[in-house]
Amino acid sequence: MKLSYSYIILLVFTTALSGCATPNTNTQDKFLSAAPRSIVVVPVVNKSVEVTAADYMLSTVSIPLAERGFYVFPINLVKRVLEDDGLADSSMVHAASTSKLASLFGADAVLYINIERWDAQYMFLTTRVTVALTYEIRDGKTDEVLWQNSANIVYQPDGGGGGGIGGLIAQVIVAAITKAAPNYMPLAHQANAVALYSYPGSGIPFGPYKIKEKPL
Amino acid sequence: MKSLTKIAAFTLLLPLCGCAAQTQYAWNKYDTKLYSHYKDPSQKEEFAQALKETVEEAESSNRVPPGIYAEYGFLMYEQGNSLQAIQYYQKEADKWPESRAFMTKMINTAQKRSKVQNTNSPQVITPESNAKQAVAEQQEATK
Repeated sequence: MKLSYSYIILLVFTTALSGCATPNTNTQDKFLSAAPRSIVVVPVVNKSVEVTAADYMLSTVSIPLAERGFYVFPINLVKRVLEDDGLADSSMVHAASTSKLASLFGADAVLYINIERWDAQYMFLTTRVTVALTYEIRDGKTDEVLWQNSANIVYQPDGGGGGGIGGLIAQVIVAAITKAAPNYMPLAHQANAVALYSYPGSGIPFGPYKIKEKPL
Repeated sequence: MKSLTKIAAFTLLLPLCGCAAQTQYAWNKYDTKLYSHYKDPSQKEEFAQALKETVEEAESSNRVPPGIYAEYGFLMYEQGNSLQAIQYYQKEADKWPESRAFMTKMINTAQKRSKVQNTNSPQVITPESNAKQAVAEQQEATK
């Protein structure tokens, strides 16, 4: 009995571990040894035609990053300080020296996000959005890349409305609204989750402020 | 056999509740608020009001997210309220040691402006000595 009990506990433990943060030492070694406490997110470089994409990514990334356990510098204030320093253009910021950027804020590391692709295809009843993003964290002292990952997603907003003619009408309305004023918030959340929390093992390790799960 | 199913269900559930639990900080839609601000930058006061709500609610549950005090402080600065800006920058610095170097810079900028304001317009009620005193008191309080 005792043996089977500990076996179960072990099983539960390993399952929980693999679900959240599978250690992938090859890609996370550098990050773990640098152990940054604070991360500054610089404006997003947008190579797509969707003009709102950069704002979506910039405004959504600090929450998952902070929830991962890091001090994340205030997004809007950082953006304005960079603008005042003549760094309004995001590709200019990305080309600048990481350590110089980090020293402006006293940050341990800098997160760069690139939007490679953000294509919306409009169909009769729905919209399909294909996105490709890259994320990279560089060391604020050595400029070295500590971690990188990408998020490739095909996103289809939920049509909803169920079946039947009523459902069809609802879908048409949703499709029309989506086309007129798309809400990409869920897509941005999904992309961040894939890149930062992804399974297996390519997400970022926990930061110093991560509160360990309390027993239920 | 029955217990095996239970174990299986448990192991399936556990990682779920581990990952998708309640957030560590009370964000109160900070991301949506920030995005709305970028979409329509003219609505500055609405953004300030929205962030104020986030600050107050987060304080009441003691789950203030990193960056929020500073973000709000900067909006106060933009509205010309250097004194309040300094107070919130100081709150950020007190709560998050990682922000101290940056907040010291921001406080200096706000203090400089409040000095300029005072020499230019004598009708300003809050002299810069008050600003300095407020910061000093805050620092005293945290010691």
